[in-house]
Amino acid sequence: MAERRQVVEAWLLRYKDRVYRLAFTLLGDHEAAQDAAQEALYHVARWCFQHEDFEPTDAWVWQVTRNAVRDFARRALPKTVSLDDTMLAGDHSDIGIEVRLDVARALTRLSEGDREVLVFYYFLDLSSQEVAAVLGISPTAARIRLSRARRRFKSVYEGSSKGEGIG
Amino acid sequence: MKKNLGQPEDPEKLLRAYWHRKAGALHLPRDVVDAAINRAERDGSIEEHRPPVRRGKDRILVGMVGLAAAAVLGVMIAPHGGKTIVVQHASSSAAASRQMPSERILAMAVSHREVWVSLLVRRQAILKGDSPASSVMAKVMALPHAPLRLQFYTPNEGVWLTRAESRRWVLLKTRNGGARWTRVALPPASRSWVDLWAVLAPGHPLALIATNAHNHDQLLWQTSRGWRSFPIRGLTGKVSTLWVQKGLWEVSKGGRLFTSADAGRSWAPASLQFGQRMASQAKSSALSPSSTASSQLWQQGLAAGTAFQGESARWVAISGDLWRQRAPGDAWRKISPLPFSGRAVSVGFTNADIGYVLSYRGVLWRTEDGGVHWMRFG
Repeated sequence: MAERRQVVEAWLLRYKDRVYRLAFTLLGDHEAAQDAAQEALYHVARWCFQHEDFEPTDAWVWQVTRNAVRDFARRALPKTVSLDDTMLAGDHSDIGIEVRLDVARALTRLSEGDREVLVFYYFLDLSSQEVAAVLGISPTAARIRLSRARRRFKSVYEGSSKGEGIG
Repeated sequence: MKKNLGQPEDPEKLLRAYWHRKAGALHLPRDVVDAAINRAERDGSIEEHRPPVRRGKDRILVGMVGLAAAAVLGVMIAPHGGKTIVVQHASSSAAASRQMPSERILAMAVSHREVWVSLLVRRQAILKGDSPASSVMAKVMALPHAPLRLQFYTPNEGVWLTRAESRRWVLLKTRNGGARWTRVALPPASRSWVDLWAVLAPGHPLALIATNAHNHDQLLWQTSRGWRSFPIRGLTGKVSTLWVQKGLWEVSKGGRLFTSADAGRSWAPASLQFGQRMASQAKSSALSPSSTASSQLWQQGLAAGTAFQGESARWVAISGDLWRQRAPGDAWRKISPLPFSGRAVSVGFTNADIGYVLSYRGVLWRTEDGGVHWMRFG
């Protein structure tokens, strides 16, 4: 059992930051993301303890995380665009603050399903086959969902960025 | 404000840059992993169970409640316009039961001889009270928004709180065990609150503890002339749990306990954390100190969101177990492991024997022997 714990612990340490980031991108709140990440890691660990021959795959861990986030989101407050330090710090010239705010605002206007598929594809860098595995749908359906989500994001973002701006 | 015209237009580039900037630097603390793996290791031997002897009886009870609930779904009163909501009493109907949509329980609280649950059915929240003593009767009413908190501070006095999609807070209160719920008009400033707790203690006006976007707390009392505001001393930021017992207000926050003896105006850290207090007072029949002495017991988890109930006794679901304290200051005694894995959202007992615990996944469990054995309910 002690050996198994070491193995499981190593897996959890390998996944912990990515699970946290995934939860954060879906929930948009540090505290909520930490709670959801702990719940996801708990379920990963418990399954691994109960099935000694089991070894987690990336897609399975994302699926567990997604379920934990969904459980949490059902009880959480409505999502808001958070203006936290990770967004407003201006020492990186990747995209400007205004663009980041427009992206954030556009994302909050998308449906949960659209936001989710964009997170999996663009943030986790999953392939469309892996997205399909996580969502439990066919690769073709995943590609269609991704295409629609990308189109809707672009439409909402362009509408937002051509408006009067924020604040 | 004029927009930055030099921004990239490629949505793929934007999304990658946005998320890697926003979340790329995040790291989950190691103690969160430790807490998760410790819970998983401990819960590995706990299997979810349904005692077969009680299951038939329970299913009959649940079925009757479900039939009754479904029968009134079409005639419920929504609180959009009126100030007061009268609970509907239901009768059973086989035809209605076939139309009963799937339910997920989001919040649970116990009042005088009754358990109240908030269900989410087709994006509509339903607050349902069920009296175990008279199982053919169900009380159902429709609410416009998903519930966030449902809490009874005494057998008769309780609050139901949520936040609408418009970010407007919605608060209902009852002082007669849930027979009649009244909508509370909140001050205009409530739109800026990011978190809110409502306290309805006996002999005291309705009180609110509100947290604004700058993480500052504010106390408000409802008076005949409107809301009276007080600064809060000794407490900052969102609260995890709140309960009131014998005039003493207690909150948990960030793994620590705080108490207030002046109805929320000033707060002081509790001298010992919950786990340490349990360990220091542990007797032979309580759980051994070695497994309760962790100062991280709150943070491990499972106390967040739990509720306390009863005139003097308290029950709490924490770290996978159910605990009872007969009176303030007594030793906490472990009653049984919870019948499910993961977090408990709330726990409540209608008397010394009949109690309920709601799991994180929205499953309600019931005991008829003080928490020794559990069965699924609903």
